[in-house]
Amino acid sequence: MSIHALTLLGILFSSFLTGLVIFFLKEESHRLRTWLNMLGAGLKLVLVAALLWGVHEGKDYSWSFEFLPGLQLALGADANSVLFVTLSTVLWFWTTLYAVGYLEDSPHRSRFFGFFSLCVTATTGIALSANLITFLIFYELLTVSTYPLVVHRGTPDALRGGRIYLTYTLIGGTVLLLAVAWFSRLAGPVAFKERGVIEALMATHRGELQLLFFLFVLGIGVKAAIVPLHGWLPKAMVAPAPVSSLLHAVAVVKAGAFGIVRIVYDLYGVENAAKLGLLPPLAVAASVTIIYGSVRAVFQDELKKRLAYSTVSQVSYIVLGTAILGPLATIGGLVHLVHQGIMKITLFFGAGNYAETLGIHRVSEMNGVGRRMPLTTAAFTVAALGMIGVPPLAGYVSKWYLKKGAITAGDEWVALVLAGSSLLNAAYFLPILYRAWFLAPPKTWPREHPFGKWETHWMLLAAPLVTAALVVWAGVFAESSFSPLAWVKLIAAREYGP
Amino acid sequence: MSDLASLQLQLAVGAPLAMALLLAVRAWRHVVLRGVPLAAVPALLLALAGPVGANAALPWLAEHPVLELDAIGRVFLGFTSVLWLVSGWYARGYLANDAHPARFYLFFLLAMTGNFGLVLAADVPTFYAGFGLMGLASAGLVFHRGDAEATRAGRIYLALAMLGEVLILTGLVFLVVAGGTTQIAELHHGVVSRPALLLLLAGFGIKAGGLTLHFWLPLAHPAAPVPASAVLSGAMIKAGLLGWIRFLPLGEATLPGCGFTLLSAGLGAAFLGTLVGVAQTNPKTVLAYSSISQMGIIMTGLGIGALRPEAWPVMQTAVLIYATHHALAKGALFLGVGPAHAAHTRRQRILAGVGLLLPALALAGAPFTSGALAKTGLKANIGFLPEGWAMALAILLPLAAAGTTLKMARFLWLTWPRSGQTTVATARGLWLPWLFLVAATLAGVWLLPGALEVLPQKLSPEKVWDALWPLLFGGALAALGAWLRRWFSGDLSRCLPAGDMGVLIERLLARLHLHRPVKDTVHHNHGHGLSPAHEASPWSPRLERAGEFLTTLEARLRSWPVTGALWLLLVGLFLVLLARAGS
Repeated sequence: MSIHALTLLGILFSSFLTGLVIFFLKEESHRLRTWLNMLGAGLKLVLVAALLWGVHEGKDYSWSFEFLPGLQLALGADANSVLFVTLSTVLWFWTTLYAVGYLEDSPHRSRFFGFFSLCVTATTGIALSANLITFLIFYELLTVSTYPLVVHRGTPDALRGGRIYLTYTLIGGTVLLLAVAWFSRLAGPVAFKERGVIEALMATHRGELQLLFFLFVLGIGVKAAIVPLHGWLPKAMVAPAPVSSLLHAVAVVKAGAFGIVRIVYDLYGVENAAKLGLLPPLAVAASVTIIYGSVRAVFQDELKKRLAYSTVSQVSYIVLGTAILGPLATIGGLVHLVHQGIMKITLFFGAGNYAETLGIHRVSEMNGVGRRMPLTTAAFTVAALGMIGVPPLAGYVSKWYLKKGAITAGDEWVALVLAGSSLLNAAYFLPILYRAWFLAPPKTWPREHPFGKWETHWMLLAAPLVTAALVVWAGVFAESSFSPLAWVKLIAAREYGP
Repeated sequence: MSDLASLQLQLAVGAPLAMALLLAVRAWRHVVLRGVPLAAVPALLLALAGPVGANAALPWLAEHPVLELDAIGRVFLGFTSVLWLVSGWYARGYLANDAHPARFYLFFLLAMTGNFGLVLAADVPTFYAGFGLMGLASAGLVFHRGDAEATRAGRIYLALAMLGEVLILTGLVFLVVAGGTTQIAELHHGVVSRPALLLLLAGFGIKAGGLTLHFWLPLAHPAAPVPASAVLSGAMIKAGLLGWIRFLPLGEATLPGCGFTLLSAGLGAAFLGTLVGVAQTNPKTVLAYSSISQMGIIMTGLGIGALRPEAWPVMQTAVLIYATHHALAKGALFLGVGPAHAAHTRRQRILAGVGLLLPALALAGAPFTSGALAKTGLKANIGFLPEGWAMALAILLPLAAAGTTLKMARFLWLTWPRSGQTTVATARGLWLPWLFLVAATLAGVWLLPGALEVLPQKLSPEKVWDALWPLLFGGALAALGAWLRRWFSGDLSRCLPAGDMGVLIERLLARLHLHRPVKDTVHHNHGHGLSPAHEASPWSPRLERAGEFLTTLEARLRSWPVTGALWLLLVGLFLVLLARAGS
């Protein structure tokens, strides 16, 4: 087995094995569990760094195994998978650190971290899948391993949220299964390839391909929270903050968005999809989601719910970028996969800190919180401004490329959708920032938890500060050769090519 | 380009930014706060001595130069940096007893960074970054006082500023796509993009206070602390003007729609500003309306340039002179409010009176002042217009000047230092920066390139009369108004409230039950005493109900019948697939 294949497997097993071991650890062995967690996350980070370098140099990474006659379990790494795997690995590292701090003294930590690791294994599996079957397997594995995390607290609310999550994602999964089976019957066992694999079928099976695309989007759209398939996401926010971060930024929603990217670019090929007339409906669905999610977010007083609706809206930027033909829009959409992740995770870290330190769960309780927790609020502010699209932060770069791509492609209306969305983003984020920084703090907080020297536990503080720094870096240094944007430009070049 | 020039450019923008960041370190805070005025010094030095054409390329940021000093930018940087420097200096005295000085200076420095950045920007992203930073940071200045008036003004300002920024960004992207480059200097060799024109006209119009988009301005400028009002009304308002100069293809294409819009919005703003402005009782609001009028007059200059490309090179000089003159004079008037209120001794009162009178006369365009020069420059180019417009402008512009005199008279009436003032305000540290700015107002404009050529060759009594009669007419109107007030003692600002159209919009929204007006900030500051449901939502019941409807709709979607129907659909599809596989 080559060193390249070992890297791929190592990336998967670094979290899978730690997850398995953690399940069997005693609840009290806090130190050992933390070490194992951080070791796994660190090892994965190193391996992903190696992968990143290798793929940039044009090395071929692949591994496959026939697990049933005719069915290949195949892993591989192209520029697209590296984008997603790097994002989820980097954010997983910081989320793990955050989760260790967040769940200190709470029960069932071994169960939690076990599933936490499995969840990330599934996510990296989705990123590294080289064919549809493998993608499907990891996709379902993700659904199953996330459920225990959503219901972790075990309260009636959590169980209800979990049930709704499961209903949505299982139905979505079934539709996806159907689509995969049908597609495989049509095209045979196909591997993902830049510019698609359906060239031969275009002339003969037009209608079937269109229907299949609809099924793919319906199946994957549940996780990507496309309206009206988004209902589970705001309900799942009952989960603890690290899980929300995982759902919104690292794993689940991202897996959905990545799935749509894969289907459009590497299964159908974006130019083929355009020829089949599939892109305009997708663009409309994404636009409706963007506006609807933002409008709903404006009315939420619960902080995490507001953030959840914001995710509904923001993730569809990725879908929108995918649904517009042309390299500029592709760049805008794909780079938002990373940008949305780092911004939203910062916001959820912030929300978690407010809840854990001061017992704040509602926007209306956030008066003067900036004076009590300046560092957390500064990170939160950076991320919120980024979401609005204030330069030179990450969100601005995404919006710039998306607008440019839409106008270049002749879809001027999309620029207006994005402009409207920016206004709505401002309408639900700026009041929070105003409250936090300008209004006087109350005499007592809802439920204050003293943490000694810093404004909160150092692990809870480190994670949002790092991710907020990433938001600034991704925006300011976007045009340098070491940025998410630079990598995404590489993908777009390979996707459209000469 | 030499490294030194590049360094100067980076320092001009970087100095205020670095100071803003240093504010975060608690231990250094008091040192930084003392040095705030120094943040504008590199920019001022650059404007005075920097070589035109200097640019700064930052390879880690972008391939092309991001900052550049050109002739237009130099003029803007000149008056902008003077205003920021003096206001920062003045703020040290003004905010001596403020509860949150660090917060004020943070936003002050960030807005300064943005303002310098947009003036020196060589490419579109840098310009927009500066513009956005300035717009958002100055919201912090408007909110600063924290009372009900400031909160209302801040909200309206923020809403309009965000709208403006979104319009501008979209317009700029249209422009970049049409022009195929992000370098500002090369943008207009492409085609004129119609959507870009429309979006930029409206977007920058919000910042410049163009008619129908102006109503945030008389609320926001007076609500901010005095030094912030001075930079808002003097320097930042000019960002809208600079945006138009940079991004409208002036002098390259005839733009009839654009030109007539600018002319009519400008003239409308000039007269509306006078009408509502004279009714105000707050001197700072009078000044804000005067800014709307003055920007309106400048807009007519742009309008002429848009209609007659061949007139633009001359017109541009006139517009730059006018902008500089207005920025300095308006800044001096705003800063004068503090010392005038605090003048106790007779000598102080005389000094304050003279210090207010000089910039007021300049703004009214009295002969031999910067205002007369600016107005001469503008009027000299009316001839380029078609007959009807030329006639109209020849009459309307002097009338607008008469209106300015009227507003200045109103302002002086409201601020004039009187003996036995009961205010206990102290003016320590305010006099020196203010008088410095008054001196700059008198001298500044004459240093501009091309200023002396605008001067008439020979001074004839006729020309002096041309400048004098609007002043006398305005003065007569003011006297008439004061005389009429003997019989009429009602509060005019009730009929013509500050924020004119904005107030109408607010009332309309309230009538439609879409908006819940800001009540008292006590309610906001100590919200924990109220029931959460009441405190929770800034939205009116009607909007609230619309939100609830969507919630029920989503709940429906989640209920079993819908899920069940989806399952049935799936089973059906499976059957179809099986049947096809079997056939």
